[in-house]
Amino acid sequence: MSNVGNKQKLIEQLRAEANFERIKVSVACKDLIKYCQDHESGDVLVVGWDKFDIDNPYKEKQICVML
Amino acid sequence: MSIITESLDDLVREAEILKTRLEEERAKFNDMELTIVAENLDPLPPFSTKSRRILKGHQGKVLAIDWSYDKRHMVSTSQDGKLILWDAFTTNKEHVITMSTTWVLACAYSPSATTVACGGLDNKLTLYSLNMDDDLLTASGDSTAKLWDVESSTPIQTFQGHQADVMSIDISPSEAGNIFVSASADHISMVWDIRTGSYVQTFEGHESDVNAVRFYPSGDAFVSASDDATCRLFDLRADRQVAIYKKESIIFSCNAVDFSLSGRLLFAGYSDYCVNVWDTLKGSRAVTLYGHENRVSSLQVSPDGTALGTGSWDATIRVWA
Repeated sequence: MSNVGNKQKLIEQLRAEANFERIKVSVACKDLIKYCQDHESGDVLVVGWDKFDIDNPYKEKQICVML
Repeated sequence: MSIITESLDDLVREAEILKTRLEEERAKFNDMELTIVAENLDPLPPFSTKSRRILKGHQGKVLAIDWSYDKRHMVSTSQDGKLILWDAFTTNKEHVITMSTTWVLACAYSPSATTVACGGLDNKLTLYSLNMDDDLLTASGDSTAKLWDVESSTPIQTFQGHQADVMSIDISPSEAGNIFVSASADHISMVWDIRTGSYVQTFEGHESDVNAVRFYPSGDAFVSASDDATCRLFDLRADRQVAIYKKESIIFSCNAVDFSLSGRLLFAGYSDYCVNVWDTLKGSRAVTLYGHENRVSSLQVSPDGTALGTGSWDATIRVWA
């Protein structure tokens, strides 16, 4: 009997998933790309430390030498 | 008895019909792949990230790492049974805690960075804390995920649906943290609603165990890593896979994934000791990071996006920046 119960639960789940409100893949992709573009300038791993205002805390500090 | 058998047959048939309908519905909205939509984007600038720190101290395979929200400290667990809290800037070990078991498979900082949680093959979830604050979500080899009330050490909610070990979970950065995604050895990823305790979407495609999942920073998609040597990007609103990250030359399993701050870079750690850096949008490999001398088991970008931490079975953790 529990087998029937499980199947009924599965059907309910599948029905909910089939009725899921979708958007077109192209629209979803445009949104993913837009998020990237909006945040890329703040992404050091993308733009590199050279184009960044703050110093890389992991870079070995240059030692000043008095001449 | 025959009535039950008959109705069971009917139910099996109905489930099959619904599965077909689900695939048809998904196909209707599948008009274009991500890499095609991203075709005209500028290519990535040259990649300048290097290995900057090596954290040494574990005597066994590093199994899991997690960055603290202070963007500087890191926690790691290892097969040597030690949990270590590191200062990633100085590489100092600030705390070394001996666990009651070896094979501590997972560890995580709390958002306030005052508690560290870890768990392993002793089936225990252990917390080391300065003050108990949050609820905690865990994934387990018993095929469930659980939400815990930390103060009373009791489960609030059990998330049942997977058919095999739950390997990894990630909470959505949007939706007020009410949504999470899970990866399982049943080859499937599921998206769950924490409030109702049930799953709302299932994502298939991987041909083997799914080892890791991570939300895209916008919360609209997630990436998964698998023993089938691929990573896949699934979009929640399109309800399907929108990109795949694979190469013929990559044949070893992928164990860990994370995105850079903007989502443009996808970091993936493999059993061939490499970390591949993918252009998330174009689907191409940007660069490969070499350094580890054994399987890359865990990997995470620091919360401010300035550094990548990688843990390996070579017993070290590397910081790339």
